[in-house]
Amino acid sequence: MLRFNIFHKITISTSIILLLVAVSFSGQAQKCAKKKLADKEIREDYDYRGQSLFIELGNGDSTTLNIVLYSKQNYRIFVVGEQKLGKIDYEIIVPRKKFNRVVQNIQQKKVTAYKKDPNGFYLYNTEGERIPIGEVMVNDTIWSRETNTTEELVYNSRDAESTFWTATPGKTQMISIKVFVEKTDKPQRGCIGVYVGREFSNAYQFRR
Amino acid sequence: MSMKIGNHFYLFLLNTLFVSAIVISCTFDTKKAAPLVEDESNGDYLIYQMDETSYKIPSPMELFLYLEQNGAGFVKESMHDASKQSTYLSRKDKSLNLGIYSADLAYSTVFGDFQQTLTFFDAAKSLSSDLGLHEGYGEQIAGRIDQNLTNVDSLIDITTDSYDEATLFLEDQGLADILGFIVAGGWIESLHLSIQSVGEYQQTSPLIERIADQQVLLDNLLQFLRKYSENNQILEVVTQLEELQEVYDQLYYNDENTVITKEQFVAISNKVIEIRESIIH
Repeated sequence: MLRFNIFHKITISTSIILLLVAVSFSGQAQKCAKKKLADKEIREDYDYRGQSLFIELGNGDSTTLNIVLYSKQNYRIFVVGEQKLGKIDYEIIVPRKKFNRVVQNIQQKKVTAYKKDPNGFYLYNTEGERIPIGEVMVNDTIWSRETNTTEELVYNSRDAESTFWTATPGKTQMISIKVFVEKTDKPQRGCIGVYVGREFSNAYQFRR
Repeated sequence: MSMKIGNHFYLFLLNTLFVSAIVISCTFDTKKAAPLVEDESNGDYLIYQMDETSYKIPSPMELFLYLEQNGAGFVKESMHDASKQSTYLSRKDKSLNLGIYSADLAYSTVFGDFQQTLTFFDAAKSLSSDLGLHEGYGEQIAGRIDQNLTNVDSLIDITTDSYDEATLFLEDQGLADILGFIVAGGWIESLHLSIQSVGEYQQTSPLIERIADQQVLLDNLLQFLRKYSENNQILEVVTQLEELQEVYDQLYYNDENTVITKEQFVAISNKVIEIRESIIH
């Protein structure tokens, strides 16, 4: 009975400990979102709700955030992290879709051949119709469009003059923000904030 | 006695394995490709190197603010019926319709229909409570809404907070299916309301252009949802949205001066209605 109790207690204790570990792993985004990772100076008058990402990372980790920027809207994007993580670099990449006219299929088909003069002009009969001389096989080309996506690096924090990227896209587009936390001898874990801010419109002046 | 102890020991082992499995799934489910690797520079440290892609799209609120600022009409009758919230029983239906009601909440807020704001907040609150979602639609937010009922700017701020907190909470909890359904439901409703508020098709209208722009959001939303498409219910939504994507893909064939033709606009509108009907049924 005593041993049963011990096992029972161990089972419960183990469950509680493991569940506590699970709970401690969860809550990263909310925990990191509540930390003041970025000061007012860099935030300025932008609304960072909606597409920002708050995540816990370790040294050597990287992460990518794909977002959508609306056209004619002013945006400010930057990445900051807790000091213990050391240097954090980020790149902003715009995928560009391009369309090329490509041959989808070439089919042989029979067409009527008409009589021509030595200069290549069609000859006509008394009723004004072209004069058939038989049938020939010709190539019928079916065209389609091919989509190619290329990536354009528009910002790299490693060689940028500014610590943030501002943009007013001409058309609505998807962008990728790639974040790299430097490797260190003694890796740490800490919060990273990928701040995606859009400028407040006149009708909506609230600040955060 | 020894048999009993043996049974309890196995029970203990099973319990431990079960709980461990939960822990592992909670920790890594949203962080695929997170292998444990040994830090080369220092053998004492074990870290997991994470290289994960996250996907986000602008909230319905952003779209509604744009509509309002560009003269779109308020189509109250096109919003969902808040009283239907009690008819949704499955996790999928509740989550999708929570997204729908969240969008309706944002829409009625932007256009200053405070009575509807309260009604849709209650509907969203009820569904989120059923789903065990305690952030975003709780008592605290309800109190803030009550205190600011006649202030549009404050209500916009509060409902933006509400959506943001709910999504952060779901990200944290690794509840990707609920998050995916909410975002998908909210996006479909925001697109539906935008289309309905446009009225007549005009090729050069900024509202029409913004509806065409939703193609980019759809692409990103689908990339996010496909990460979880091993879940059959998510896969059903992905399949529906891919059908809409096919309709949107026709826009790629337009010449440089044409954003969207009337036929394409009608085709998108019809597909959105079809998907929405299947969600709100």
